[in-house]
Amino acid sequence: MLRLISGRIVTSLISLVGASLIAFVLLRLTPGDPARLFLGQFAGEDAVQALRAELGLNGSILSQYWIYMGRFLSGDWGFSYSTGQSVAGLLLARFPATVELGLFAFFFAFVAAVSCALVSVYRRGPVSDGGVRALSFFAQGVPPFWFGLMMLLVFFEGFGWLPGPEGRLGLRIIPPPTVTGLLTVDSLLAGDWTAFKDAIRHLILPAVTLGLMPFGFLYRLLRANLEGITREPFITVARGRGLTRWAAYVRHALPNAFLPTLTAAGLLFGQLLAGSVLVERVFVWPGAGALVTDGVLKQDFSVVQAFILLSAFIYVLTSLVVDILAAMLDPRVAQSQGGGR
Amino acid sequence: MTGRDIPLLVVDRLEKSFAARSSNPFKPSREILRAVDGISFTVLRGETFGLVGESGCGKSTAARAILRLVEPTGGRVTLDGIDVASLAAEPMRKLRRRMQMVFQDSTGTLDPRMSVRELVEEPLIVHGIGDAATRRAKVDAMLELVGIRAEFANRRPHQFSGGQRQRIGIARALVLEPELVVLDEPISALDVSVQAQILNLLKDLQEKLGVSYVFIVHDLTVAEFFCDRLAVLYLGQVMESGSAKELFADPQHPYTLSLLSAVPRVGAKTGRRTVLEGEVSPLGSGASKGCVFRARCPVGKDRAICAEERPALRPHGTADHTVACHFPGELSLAPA
Amino acid sequence: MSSTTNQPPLLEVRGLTTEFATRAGAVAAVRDVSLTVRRSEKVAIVGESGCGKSTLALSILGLIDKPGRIASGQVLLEGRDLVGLSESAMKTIRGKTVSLIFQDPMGALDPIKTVGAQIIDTLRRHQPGLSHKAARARAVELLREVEVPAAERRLDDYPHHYSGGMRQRVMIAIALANAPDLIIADEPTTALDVTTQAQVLALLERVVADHGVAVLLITHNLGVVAEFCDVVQVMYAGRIVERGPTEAILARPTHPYTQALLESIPDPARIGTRLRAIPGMPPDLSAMPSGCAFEPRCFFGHGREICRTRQPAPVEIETTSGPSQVECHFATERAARASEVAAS
Repeated sequence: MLRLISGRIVTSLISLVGASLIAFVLLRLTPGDPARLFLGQFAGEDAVQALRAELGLNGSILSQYWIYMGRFLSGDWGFSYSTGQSVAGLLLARFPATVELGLFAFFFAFVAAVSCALVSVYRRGPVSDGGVRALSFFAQGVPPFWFGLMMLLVFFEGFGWLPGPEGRLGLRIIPPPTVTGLLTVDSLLAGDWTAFKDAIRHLILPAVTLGLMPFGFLYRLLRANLEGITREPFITVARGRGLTRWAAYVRHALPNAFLPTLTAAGLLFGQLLAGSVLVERVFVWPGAGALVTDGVLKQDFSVVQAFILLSAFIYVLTSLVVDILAAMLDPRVAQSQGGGR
Repeated sequence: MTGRDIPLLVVDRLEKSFAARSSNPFKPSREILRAVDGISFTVLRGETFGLVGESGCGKSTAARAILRLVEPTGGRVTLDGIDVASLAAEPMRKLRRRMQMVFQDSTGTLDPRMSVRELVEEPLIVHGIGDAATRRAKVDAMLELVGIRAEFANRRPHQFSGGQRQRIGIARALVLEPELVVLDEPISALDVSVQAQILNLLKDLQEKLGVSYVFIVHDLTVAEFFCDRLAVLYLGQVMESGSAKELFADPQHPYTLSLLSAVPRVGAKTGRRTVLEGEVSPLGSGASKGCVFRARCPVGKDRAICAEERPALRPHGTADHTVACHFPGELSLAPA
Repeated sequence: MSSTTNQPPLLEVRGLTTEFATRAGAVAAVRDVSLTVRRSEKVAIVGESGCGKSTLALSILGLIDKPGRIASGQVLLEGRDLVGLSESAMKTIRGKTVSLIFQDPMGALDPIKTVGAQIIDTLRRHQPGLSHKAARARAVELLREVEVPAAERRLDDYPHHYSGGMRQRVMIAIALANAPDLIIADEPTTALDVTTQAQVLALLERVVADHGVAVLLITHNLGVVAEFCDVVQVMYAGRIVERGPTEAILARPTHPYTQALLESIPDPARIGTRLRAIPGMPPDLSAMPSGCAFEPRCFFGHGREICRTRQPAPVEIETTSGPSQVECHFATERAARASEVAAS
């Protein structure tokens, strides 16, 4: 098992380097001179050249990459010329909001997918089958921003049950002191029950909106696996040992059906954490998505660059965790990958 | 050259070993798995030679190595005097026309989108035999021979039962008029009554076409009934070989004997069973000396010579009956 | 073997019909089957694939799921009808009074739970008072009983660490866990090599005798039936066409199907002759012949008017080792002729 994990960490590092290199080179190849953009079109050529030298833009792409990575690792993520702030400060202020939303969206997608898959396979009737299938097609097909607006119309405008598009907390709620940046966690740590409830209420609509597509995807994947697994002899044998059909499904079919979806779930999770620009816009969510679209439009390279690196890191980390998880949950993986016993 | 007493196929000390999968990608394993470990036999024209044994005995690997579907790692295979292993790609392709294979599960070898006629014609096209009209005639004749009615020739494989699909697989192999057909467990996926149909068909085809069979089989009852001569394999080595009649009437090797006594039979409820202990499991690479069967052998388990010296195949009685055992005949079928 | 008490038999199936809903309408895989298993009796149900033998086994345990259903009949376990019982009622019976052994192409044990966990779960499900520690000790005992070497250590192994033969031993241990009265064994040795099959059969024979458990063995292998069972029931196209004492039926079959099945097994005594194959295939269950289901393939009755038009009723035949029942219009005639041949 240890050997498996150390091997995975090495390959993770290699893919991180690869991803950062590709992102770096691609961004440098896009037209536009960062020094010129930074100084504006009226600055003299001398000033631009001086800045280019200072930023290291005259060296080869590889040497630029080397310098950039060195600074990035020491915490200097560069300077955002469009906002005039340090990139690290900007991103770290907004990333927790994106992460919190992503976590809740994933939680919703996962729980909903598991329950829908279990119930529809258990019932095996054309009605529950058709109903849940229609729901999953809808989930995968509907545009998230439109769905988000509809949710707001119904639950905020219509019933008034949930808060409107006003970000992470109501205006009159005092945010808890920042520890993790995740408001739900921080409010619990501070013992602030009101803030916690308000944070949750603000999370529901955006999380459901963001989690809708992953839910549809996971549901279909899980359902197909579950269908196959419930026909396996060990399910019949489990019932022959004295489990009810439901117990055999939950205890034996579900874990086995879940294993092959683990990788896909991990990728979805990574995607959710990287944020969704449109959903953040609809709910005025102060996440990193909006920041990055602005960065792209204004050719604010350092913001985009740092964001790509951060996302790559999250992706690689989740797939690392997923692989280790799979190895722990599935005894057959551990053996075939050289974990031995 | 084609006299009946000149062997069609000569297999001489055939070997196929695989490097056992290593647990560490940076340190390749030196563990070698000898799937086929020096098997020799000959097959005459028009006869059926059986390779018999339990799973893991190397019978299927041996069959594939003979046809060079896997590359042998040692020994020689000659078909009608031609050294199969040394052939270049093109002459090998030509030789394949003369040696064909029928698999246990034909379903996997039949393209579901092709009609039966196309499936049986395909090998003829691949080998560039005849024009469209002669090919059609050949295919029709072959289908009739294996008992697929002409009106079904345009159907797809999934419209047939398992037994009929096996007939199609046999037609595909035999349409090239090969001299040797390797049958890899051709009936073990079928029901008893259908098994009998296929066995009868194979016997008829052999009589009509004079083809030789190498018959891979785990079912001893079938082997006894169907094979002229056979070899009993254990962990890649021949334990005993000879004519089916003699081998089953007077088995000498303890393994052959245990196998025979393990088969449940109708109308032979006796107490003569020798239940073997343990399971087929390869010995570690360090244990290459001695007899491969000794760990489970009721005769030689505790004997020094069985642990020290690998027994050679020695003739017993007639020249054709050979046994690889230090103590042949010590275990017998008679009740103790 | 004969029961003289007035107690009901351990298992009595009466007129059981199991149907599957298909697009073409309901198709009966088991048609009006009745059978009896007495205490400590070993009964075989033998037939080819698709004859309904596995469906019958699952029907007895109430394990038929949609689109299948038991259309009619009773499954009486010690006199109590199991048909229509809820899952929560059945769960106290399955694995306790009646347990199940399944054919094992790797699939009969949950691959991601240890062997021990699955045995312990079976024990504690039916013995709620049993502590985990006591259950574990009992599981080790069970593994020892089925001759799994190093039982204590192997308890924490996963199924894929076990060989096919060893996994089937584990299945037997699970089946024995709660001291059942009846074990239903569906092709328990089919996927195994002959020497392993012999080991597993010998083991099953021993534990069944030790515990006095009755066995309903589902198989296609007549050799296994001959060695293992007291009573045999031959199944064809969803019906039991012949039943009786194993020895008598295998030595002198009365139903043409049983005879043909026996003759299609290669017999060394007839080397060089052709095997007696049964022509054609079993009937399509959605388009059954109106008379005897075997008529189109029958060497005896093919083309006869009565066989084509009328479903034969069971006929009692007296054999040397007890009565047998045969569903054939010519049963009496064939039995008489067979005993003449045997006598001469």
